[in-house]
Formats: sequence, structure tokens, C-alpha cells
Amino acid sequence: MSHDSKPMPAWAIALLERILPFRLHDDVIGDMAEAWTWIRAEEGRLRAWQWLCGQLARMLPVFLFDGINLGGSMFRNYITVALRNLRKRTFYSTLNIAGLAIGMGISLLILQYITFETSFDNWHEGVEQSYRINLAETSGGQTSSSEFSFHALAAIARDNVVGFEQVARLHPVYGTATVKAGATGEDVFQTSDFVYVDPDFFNIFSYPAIAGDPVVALRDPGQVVLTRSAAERFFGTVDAVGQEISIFSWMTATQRVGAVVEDHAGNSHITATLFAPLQALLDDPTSQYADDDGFSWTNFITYAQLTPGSDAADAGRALSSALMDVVGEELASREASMSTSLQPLMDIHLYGAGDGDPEAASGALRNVLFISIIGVFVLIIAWLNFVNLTTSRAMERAREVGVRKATGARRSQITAQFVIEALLTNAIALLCAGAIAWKGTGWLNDVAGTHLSARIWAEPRLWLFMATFFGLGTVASSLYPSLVIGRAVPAVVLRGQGGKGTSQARIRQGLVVFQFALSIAMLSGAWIVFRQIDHLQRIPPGFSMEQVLVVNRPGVIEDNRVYATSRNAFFESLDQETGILQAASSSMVPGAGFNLYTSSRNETTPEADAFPARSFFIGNGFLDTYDMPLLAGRAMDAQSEWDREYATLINETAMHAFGFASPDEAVGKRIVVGSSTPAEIVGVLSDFNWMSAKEPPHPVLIFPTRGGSYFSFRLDGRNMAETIARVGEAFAVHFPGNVYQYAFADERFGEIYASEERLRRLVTVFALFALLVASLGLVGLAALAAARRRQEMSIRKVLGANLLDIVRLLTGRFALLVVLGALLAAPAIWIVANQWLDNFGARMTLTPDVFILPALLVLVVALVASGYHVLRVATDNPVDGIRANG
Amino acid sequence: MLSRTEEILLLSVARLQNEAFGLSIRKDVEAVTGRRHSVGGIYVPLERLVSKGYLETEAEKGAPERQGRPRKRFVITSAGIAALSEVRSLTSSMWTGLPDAVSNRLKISLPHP
Repeated sequence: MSHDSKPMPAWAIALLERILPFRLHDDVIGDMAEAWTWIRAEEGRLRAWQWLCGQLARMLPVFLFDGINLGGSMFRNYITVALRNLRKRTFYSTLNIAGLAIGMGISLLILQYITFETSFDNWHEGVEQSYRINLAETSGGQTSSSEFSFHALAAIARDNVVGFEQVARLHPVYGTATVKAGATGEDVFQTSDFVYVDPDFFNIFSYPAIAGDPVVALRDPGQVVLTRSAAERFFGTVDAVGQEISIFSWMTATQRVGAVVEDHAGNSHITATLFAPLQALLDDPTSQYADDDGFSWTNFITYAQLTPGSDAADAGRALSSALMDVVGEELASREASMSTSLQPLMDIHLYGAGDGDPEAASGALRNVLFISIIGVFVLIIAWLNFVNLTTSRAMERAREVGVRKATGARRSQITAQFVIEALLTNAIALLCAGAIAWKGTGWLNDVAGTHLSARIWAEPRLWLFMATFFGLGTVASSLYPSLVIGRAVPAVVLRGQGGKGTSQARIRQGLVVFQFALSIAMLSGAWIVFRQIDHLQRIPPGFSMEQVLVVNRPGVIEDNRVYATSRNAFFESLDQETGILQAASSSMVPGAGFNLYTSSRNETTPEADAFPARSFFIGNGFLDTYDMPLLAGRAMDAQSEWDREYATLINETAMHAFGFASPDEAVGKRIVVGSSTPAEIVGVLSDFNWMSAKEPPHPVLIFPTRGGSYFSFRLDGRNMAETIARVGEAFAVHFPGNVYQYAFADERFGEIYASEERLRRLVTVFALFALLVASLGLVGLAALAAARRRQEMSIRKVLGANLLDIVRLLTGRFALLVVLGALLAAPAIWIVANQWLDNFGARMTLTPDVFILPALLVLVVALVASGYHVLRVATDNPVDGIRANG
Repeated sequence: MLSRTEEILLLSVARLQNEAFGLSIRKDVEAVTGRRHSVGGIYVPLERLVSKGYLETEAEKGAPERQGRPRKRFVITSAGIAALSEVRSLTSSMWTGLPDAVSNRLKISLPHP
């Protein structure tokens, strides 16, 4: 209990002065101040605040509505009238609420998606100070930037630059690792969620420990760290500390579990669940890093946490100059330079690092932007709907307003009535929308590849947006109606001439046109995405992937020399297999990527003219397996020592980059790979889309290898299942203890378009819902138009018009609105679609059908939506129509 | 005729005599009836009673714990007393002459002193 006499906060007094009538200021504020002091002294600060907030909340409605002349009974009256209006016109209310609910529900779903996509890595402690160090190399006037760096960079940052508090390196698995674990240590698993990291990794990324300390564990080269899910997978229990685990990957080692940590608390660009000590890999005498001085291999990713208050741009510049102090001289000799930049951890998922970063390639940012735009569209359509239905109905209500005005209602009271009706409708719709969003989460996870759970509802952003939707929605959807109707002159409306305002009708039609324009834009957007994917997939890739079986190489290899023998035996045993036409091993298969990003140049050109090229390695028979034609020269022979040392195949783009005019000219010429490795071009291949047609063709160099991560088999197409099974048998015989993993090359390749495919499915579904909302509005408008023109149509019928004439008269207008909407949407779609398509190496040409088909679809939907009411008017007895009081 | 709330408030003012301020009335009403008004809310019916002439107010100088704001003492007027006695006599006349069946059950359900 504190006895200091802190007075009631000033804002509370200010608020009270606002809401209380002046004559009560002294009494109530004085009482409040007195009671506050007393409660604070007797019961403490917390209770006093609780009490204050409770009091304010209870007084607010009492005096607020009193203050603006909305006394309790008047307020109740508004609610009563609003409810009565909702009930009386069930049809319109349902349309109205359904439209709003679907619109808001879809927007909420989209909001969840955006929240998910923008919440990557925001849950690590001190994430504001955490960065990934991206490395950019400039040579020959070209700069290529990526997240990959050499492993000495970490030491330079830690030792030579001020401000780097934590630095940790990560070495990805680049494929899959094989793990032997379990109670007996004989259970075999394949995992791609495996990385080598420095101990300090766990100081930058927050994984709460369940058992053991991950930082301490990784200081020991004989220990690894598992996440909860990995421990459950490999050992069937979280209680795995001390268990033995063998990992076959960049090194072969049997280690012990040193710590188990929780899985991600949120989303992360790092999906690893198994962490092995990086230093053990670097120190392993058999690893490729055994004689790496720290600058040879750029296979590492470096993360850093700065000391609080440091500026990332400054730190990046300081690190650049520290780096150039070490390597500048050597780089200068080949007219190159390097620089570093610090990328905030939270930006990695959305922005990527540039070239070849899988996160950037997933197009996360682009998809998020697209989907946000759709969300806004759907919401606008829903609100326009509401405005349309309310204003058109309000013409019917003009009489009610007239009576209210004539009996003394002020315009502000009419406005209040409409605001409260909007409030009520929006509130009901918001409840339904919440249910839709709740139920739709599972569906969104399937389609968009997100991992949303109920946890997303704990995001304050989501609630903030919901409140904003609600507030904006209420204001937006009640402002226009109340202005239009509130203006009505009682004498005019009471005479029965109220509802004929042509200017309002025109505005309403304008809104409908706009809604259709948005619907058509979204549908044609979906259609264009679909067509572009189709277009990309139809482009001949420059090789044939049909009926090519791709088998992953065995992961568990006890001894490399024995492996070479058993691999050869594996291929030999399948030589006699009639179902296999060709077989080859290679380091990569179509869609899997490249092994090296390296600079290269013609031997006769200066170093400054070097250009970046991509490469992978193939074994004998690869060209035939994938049916890749040679334009000139010969295939490579991996058994020949000279070929292994010097031979390279290039593609046409590389040929042009080297400065050769024709394939024949290129064959036999010498090139330089990297800074000084000589090579000779033995053959030229036509260009091929190794990594999908999304990107333009790159210069590619292909080198021979006897090893490789993939075994490809071209099958003859008969008895494929049997052949696959026999390959599996041979695999089991020659690589015991390994998992036989296979896929067809074209299926693997198709996964490259997963991101576009997701975008297409999302856009399609959202566009269809938008159309549904728009057509709900149209049903209402059609019903209204039909009712209003009922008398007119009846007279026409009496005078001899037939059913077709009536239908044509009534629907003609809607058709016109759709056409206008299409015309409005076309230019916008044209511009946006062109920009999107420019991201692709090979883009489709836009043809008018991408606008015409969606417009036709919308037209059909519009006619069906208006059909029922039009037909009812067209077929009813003209006598009833004329008699009806229009 | 007084409403139930007005009756209770008038009685409270009469009981508190010189101490009939907004806060103390609120506390008294809550202590006796369990009905909770907000600090400001209690002034709404009190003002109504003033406007009907059943209560009068006397201003009293502000104290520091009230941030110097003056407070209002409520005093019951003779009209207020008359209104109370009218309610009382009406209530008691309505209580007399209850049939035995009802008054017996009332007695049974009443706690014995």
C-alpha cells in the first residue's frame, strides 16, 4: 500500500470534461478525484486504475449519448428501428449481410495470409539487431550479390570490425542428408532440414532449450542439436539427449545428441531441425574444406547480431573495408572487388538476397503484393454492394424519412439512424466474416502452402485490422446513403415523387460498373497467370524429360572407395534391363539447380571481360538420357583423365558470351574458369531451360564427373512399374541400408512452378468469391429494377410486347454495365499484366481473349443473377402489375 | 409518484443528513441495496429529484483532495418528505388486508428475528 498522493491522471480529467455536461463538472470530477486518492492509498495503484477505467467505461455511454442528444431512449429507438428494418426486408438484409460477410471474410483470410508472410523470423530475441551478411562481387563491370560467402568472413567481422556482437556461420546441406538413429541406431531417415552451424547461431536465433544448452553442445565437435520434432522423428521421444546419431552428408560422423530445443516459435526462413557443429566439418580431413584457407568455397551463410544502437549500413561498410584490407590486393589483380551488406533477418523471406536465392525465387513479396491488392478489391466490392443496396432501398424509405422529417426529425438524427443501421449490419457481417475466416484457414494452408493455426488470432495486427474494417466499413457504407437520403425534401417525397432521382440512379450504375470492372480484372488476372504457367510449361526445354526416372544417390556410404565400386556394379547390373534405354549419373537434374556459380572468360580476352556462368557435372550417357542435341563437337568421356581435367561442354548463350560466332568455331578453343583454371570446349549444346523458362537462358558450362547425386534412367515406356521395381531391387542389393527414392524427371521439374501455381489458385478462388459478392449485389438491384418497372412492363404487355421484349428491355441494361466494366478493366489489366509478365524470361503475348473470356463469364453470371426477378415480372399477369402500387 | 430508485435516494439523503454528498450517497445505496451506480451516473437521478423539487443543494468549498472543486450537499425538502410519506402510506395500505393464505406464507418465509 502506497500512501503518496498521486492525483488522478490528467487525461481522465480531460476526458470527463469532454463527456460530462458543464453543470456536473465540479461534482463528478471532484468526486472522482477524491475517490481515486482514497482507493489508490487504500488498495494500491493497480486497483485504482481498474476502478478508474471501469468508471469511465460506465459513464461514457450515459453521458456521451446524452451530450450529443442521443439520450438513452432515443438510442434504443434507433436500434429498434434498425432491427425492424432488417427484419422487414429479409431478402435485402440477407443479400446485404451475405455480401459484406463474404467480402470481409475473404479479406480477413487474405490478412491472415499477409500476416503469415510478413511475420517470418520476427520472433527471435533481439531480431532488430540481427542480420544476414550478403556478399557482392564486382568483376568485369558486373555485380552479383548473394547470401553465400566464404567462411573466413565471420572471423573478419568478429575480429576486425567493431559492433559485431555475435557472428555465426551456417552451411546448408544442399540436398538431403541420411541419418541413422533410433533406439538401436539402425533406423534410417532422409532429411533436408539439416545444417552445420556455429554454436553462436543459437545466440542469434531463439530456440528455447528443452534439455541441454545448444550453444554449449555445439562447442563439442562430437555433439549435435535437435529440435523437438526432429527428436520425435529420429528417436520417438523428446528425451533424446545422450543418444547416438550418425549423419551421412558432407562428412560422415557418429555424434551424440547434446541438446534438444523447441521447434520454431513462429515462421522462419530456416527450416532446419537438425544442427551439427560446423567446426567439425571444417576440421574433417576428408571434407572438401580440408585445405580451404577460408576464401575458396562460398558455400557458407553468415549471420550477425550487432551491438544495440549500431547502424547496419555503417557496419556493412566497415566490414567491406575490413574485407578489402584482407583480399583487396588479390582481387585487384583481376580487376574485381567485393563488398558486404547487412540484410535484416526479418526481410529475408520477403526480399531474398538476389541471384539464385531460393527465398527470392519463391516470389514471396510479389505474391504478397498481388494478394493484398485482391484483398482490397474484394473489400471494395463488398462495400460498394452495401452502398448500392442501401441507397436503392432508401428510395423506398424516402417516405419514412419524409414523415420523420415532417414530424421534426433533424437531419443529424436521420444520419444517426442510418449510421446505426450500418453499424448493426456490419457487426452481424463481421461475426459471419470471423466464422468464414476461421473455417477457411485450413483451406488456405492447403492452397497457399502456409502453416496458419489458431495462433494467428493472437496477432494484435489482425484485431487492429478487423477494427479498422469495421470502422471504415461502417463509415464508408453509411456516409453516402445518409447524405443522399438525409437531403430528401419532405414535401417532395411525401407527394410520392421521391425515388425517381436520376442522378442517384446514375451513381449507382457507376458503382455497379466499377464492381464489374474489379471482378473482371481479377478473373482475367487469374486467367493470365494460368495462361503464363501453361505457356512456360509448353516451351520446349531443350531436352526430353518424359519417361526419365531419377533416383537419388544412396545417402549412407560407409567408405567412398567401396561406394565407387558398388555404384559401378549397380549400373552394370541394370545394363541388361530391357526396360531401360539409357542410364547416366549427374550432379544435378533439370530443375534441381546448379553446382557452381563461377566467372569464366575466353582465354584470349582480359580478366575484366569475365562473365558469370553456371555449371553442373554429368556422367557418360547423360546427353542421350535427356536427349540433348550437340550442335558441334563431341560428348565428354568421364573415364578419360584428360577429359576430367580439361573438357567442358557449353550452351549457345555461353558461346556468344565467349565471343564465338558459331558452334564450330568454339569447339577446341580454350577458356578460363574461375580465376585461373584452364578448360577446353569440346562441344556446344543448344540452349536449354535447366531451371524452368521463368528466367532467360544463362551461360552454362558442363563438366564431366564419375560421381553424382542423381542416377537418371530413360525408360522405354512399357512395363514401367516393373522396371522401377527392378531398379529398386538393384538399389537395395548394391546400397544396403539406404532408402530408394525416385521420381520422374518431368514431375520434379514441374515443382518449379509451385509458386505460380499457388498464386493462380489463390487468385482464382478469391476472384470467384469477388464475383459472387458482386452478383449478390446484382440480384438485389435486379429485383429492385424489376419491381420499379413492373407497372411500365405491364402496360407494355397490354400493348402487345411479348416475353422476349420484356426480358430484353430489363436485362439489356445489365449487359451494358458489364460491357462498360470490361472496357474499364482492360487498360488496367493490360498494364499490370505486362509488368508481371516482364519478370519472366519467356512471356506469353497478351491476346484480347484474356479480357473477353472473363467478361463473358461475368455477363453470364449477371444475367443469371438478374434472371429470376426479370422473368417474374415478364411472366406475371399484367393486371396485377398495373394494379400494384409500383 | 416516486420511482423505486428515487425513493431509495431520497431515504439515503435523509439518513445521511449533513453527510449527503454524491460519493457518500452512492456508497450508502450500494451498502444497503447492493445497487451500484457509477460516480457520475448517480447524479442523473439526483438531478431529476432536484428538478422535481424534492431535493435542494448547498455548495460547499472545495478541498485539496478534490482538486479544489466545490462539492454539493443534498438536502431533502418538505416536498421530498411529503413524497416519501405518500409512498410509505400507500405501501402500508396496500400491505393491509392481504388474504390469510398469502400473509401466512409471507410469515413463514420471513426470517425469525
